[in-house]
Amino acid sequence: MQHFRFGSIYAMLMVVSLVSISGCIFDAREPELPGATVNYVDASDPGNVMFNLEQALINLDPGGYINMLSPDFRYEPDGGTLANYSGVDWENWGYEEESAFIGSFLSNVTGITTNLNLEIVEGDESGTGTEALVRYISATEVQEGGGEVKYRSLTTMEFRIEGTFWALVRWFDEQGETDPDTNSLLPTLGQRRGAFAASGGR
Amino acid sequence: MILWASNFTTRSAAVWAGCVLVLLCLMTSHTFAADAENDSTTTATGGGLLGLMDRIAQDDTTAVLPDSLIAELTGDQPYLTTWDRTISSNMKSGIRTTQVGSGFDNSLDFRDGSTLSQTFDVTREDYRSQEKVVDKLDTTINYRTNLKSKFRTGISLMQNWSEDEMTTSSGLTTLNKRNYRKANATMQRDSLSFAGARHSVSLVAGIVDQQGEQQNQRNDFAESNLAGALGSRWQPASWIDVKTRAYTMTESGERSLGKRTNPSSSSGDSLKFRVNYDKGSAKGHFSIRQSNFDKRYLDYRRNSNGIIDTIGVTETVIEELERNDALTIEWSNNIHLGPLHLKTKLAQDVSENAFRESGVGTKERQQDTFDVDLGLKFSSRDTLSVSYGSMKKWDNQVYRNATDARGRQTNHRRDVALRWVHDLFENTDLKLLLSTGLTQDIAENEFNKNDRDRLDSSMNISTGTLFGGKEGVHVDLSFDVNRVEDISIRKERSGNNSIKESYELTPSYLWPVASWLDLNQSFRVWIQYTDYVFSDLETVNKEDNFNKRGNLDTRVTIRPTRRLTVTISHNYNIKLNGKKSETDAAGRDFYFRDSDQAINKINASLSWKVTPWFELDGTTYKSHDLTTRFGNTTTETERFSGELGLGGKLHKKFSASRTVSAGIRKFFAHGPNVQKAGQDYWDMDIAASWRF
Repeated sequence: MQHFRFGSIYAMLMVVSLVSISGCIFDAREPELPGATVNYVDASDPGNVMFNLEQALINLDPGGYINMLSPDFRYEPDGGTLANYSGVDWENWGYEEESAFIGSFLSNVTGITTNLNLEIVEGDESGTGTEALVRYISATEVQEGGGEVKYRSLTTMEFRIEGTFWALVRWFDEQGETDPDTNSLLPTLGQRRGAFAASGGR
Repeated sequence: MILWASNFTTRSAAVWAGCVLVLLCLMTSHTFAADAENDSTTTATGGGLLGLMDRIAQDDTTAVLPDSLIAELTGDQPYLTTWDRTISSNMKSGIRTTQVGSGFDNSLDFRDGSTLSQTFDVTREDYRSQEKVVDKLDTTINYRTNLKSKFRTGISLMQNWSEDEMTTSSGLTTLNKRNYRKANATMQRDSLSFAGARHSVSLVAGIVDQQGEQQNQRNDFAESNLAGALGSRWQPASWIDVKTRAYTMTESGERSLGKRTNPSSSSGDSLKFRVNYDKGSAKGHFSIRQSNFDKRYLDYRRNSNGIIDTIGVTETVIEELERNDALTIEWSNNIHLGPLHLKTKLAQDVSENAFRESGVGTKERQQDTFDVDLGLKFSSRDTLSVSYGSMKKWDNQVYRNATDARGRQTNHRRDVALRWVHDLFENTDLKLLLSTGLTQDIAENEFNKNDRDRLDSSMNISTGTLFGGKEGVHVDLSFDVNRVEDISIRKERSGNNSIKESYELTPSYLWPVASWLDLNQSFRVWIQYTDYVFSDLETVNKEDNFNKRGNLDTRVTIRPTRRLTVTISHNYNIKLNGKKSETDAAGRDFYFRDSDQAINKINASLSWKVTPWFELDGTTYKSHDLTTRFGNTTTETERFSGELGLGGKLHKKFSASRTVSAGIRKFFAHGPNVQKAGQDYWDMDIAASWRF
């Protein structure tokens, strides 16, 4: 009982300490006034999620990309990526891993041209129900190190309403696709994730 | 093995080195075993035979049994005590793939506790939505001596073979092949006493060989490796335990990539030191781990991001030399003083990774972690805890041929939380959680425009009540308030800066009305307001908005007999979106509605256990989705979807050795989100096994 006599005082001290700490160390920085801005749309259907993902990639904006991910996000690589990066823990590639990857990826390339929903192979992205599964042919070109690297894939994307907006729950690269210019097989963007993870992540 | 050996003509040195080590393991095992027997341990004698047998029965791997005792205890048995053979086959079919496979396994146990096991599996996987077929053949052979002996040896052989044929949407077919083989011999000696400490030594020797082909490019290697480890444990007092471990490995051979073949090698070592303590009210550990490796191998030329980039390069395959150094220091401490507890953790990870040829160059990383959690039971009905966590990590990179580093890329997270649990009355707790966290991404020298902060504050109040014991009525209520500020610092991104405030109320109950009837209902209201910080600027095309969602879920479970279960549920979802139209002089905001969406879904499922080994089941749902969009004209979209699944499953054992299990379901589905492969398909998982 002796403990409890002073317990309330200790508890008060803990609450006061907490408030003091949070007041001191949680000051966010002041942003610059906006110049040209990236135009995102409300993620009111899966098509808008894809549009926003493209905008984020084209404008090298990791924040815009992460905003479109569900907290339950999962990435699954294609067979080629699995073969090249077999040591990566793909089973547990979730929201945190994807956020770290996209932060590093978009911060270290010069430019990106992408059309994630170049062709809808199957499914509907107009946002009926609360879940959707769409298969796309996606094409992306990354400018970096003075060169350009092409990616093309058959990809399954799964979407779900999170709160009130749609979000991307699953990105499954089924396979790499043929480059229409050279008729050679192009890798999927999974190779970027593999290279990021293999170099230690961040 | 003969075929395998014939492939080693150019790598005979590696093979011979491995074989010599394997033979060495086998030859020395008896010598060391004899020594080990004489070197009796305090564990074996001090604990007594009964205690030791108890520990072995409990699978305590630290329990050590003298080999003489093993012989005495098992002397009357034949040398081969058990031999299990299992033949199995399976067939699986789902929405993505169809798979068939067979296996043949052997498991032999010997009188001295040693075991020999072998597995063989062959599978074919056919993808339904793609033109893709994968064939695999996996086989293993493992031998190990008694796990309870102080001296243990083992040999393992493994082969993984696979062929993956895939055709792209435009008709290009590629074939990836891999044939990977590995042989290992291990030796381990425990419970060596020297200088007041106990030590264990282990040695692993092996060979690996791969013939691979990916996109018509060879990817072969043949290497032999040797690794050794020394672990020591010292207990200077009953409350302190000091452990160290030194490990070293070396590997060499040759690799072929594309048209080039070169020698390859790697070497590495690590040192680990750890002190555990448990004295009075304090308990914790301190550890340091240092590791490094050097690798020399053939690789494709890579750019500064580690991506294969061979466009315009004459020499696409290069000989890479990779070096890595890492250091981890960690201290963790728990203190309990009456009603007060304090948990602390401090850790630092530092690493450097360097490449001679890759454009990545040299990359440095550091991560510092600090966590503290203070808890107090300040009355018989109240518990309070306050925690603070900080994690700061950064990386920096000097690209190949660059003179200066690109600048640090830092991610810094800090969060603080308060938890209060109050016992309101019998079987009812009130929980309060307050938390605030700030995450900052900072690019030194502004080498990119991605500096941003995220400030997240939340409050959660919840109660949980249980009326009438564990089988009684459960009532839960939760209320959440959350505020998230997303702040991009640079002008190129700051136009999207926003503050999101959300409120959520979630009551629910589970009422077991009778032993055969459960009623479960939950309700959820969620409202979010988004305020774009710079939406008043003409250059920013953003409008503040709101989103509301309601969800009512009702579930009735009926069990009229022990074998029959029927579940009927209804889910009602409503979603309203709107945008801010104006703010009046008093500061009140007005919104107009963009769209309403209402989704009704009815589910029914039935499960009937016809016999103890056979069960029939069926599931179905029907969904109606009505979306109304408001604007100059009002439009309505109405969609229906549904699914019916019928099937059953059986699990039957014929005597003790033969088993058949099968689950078969047929699905029919329709609706806008149903894949072609999902409209009408079988879901099967059939397996049969015979153990003899």
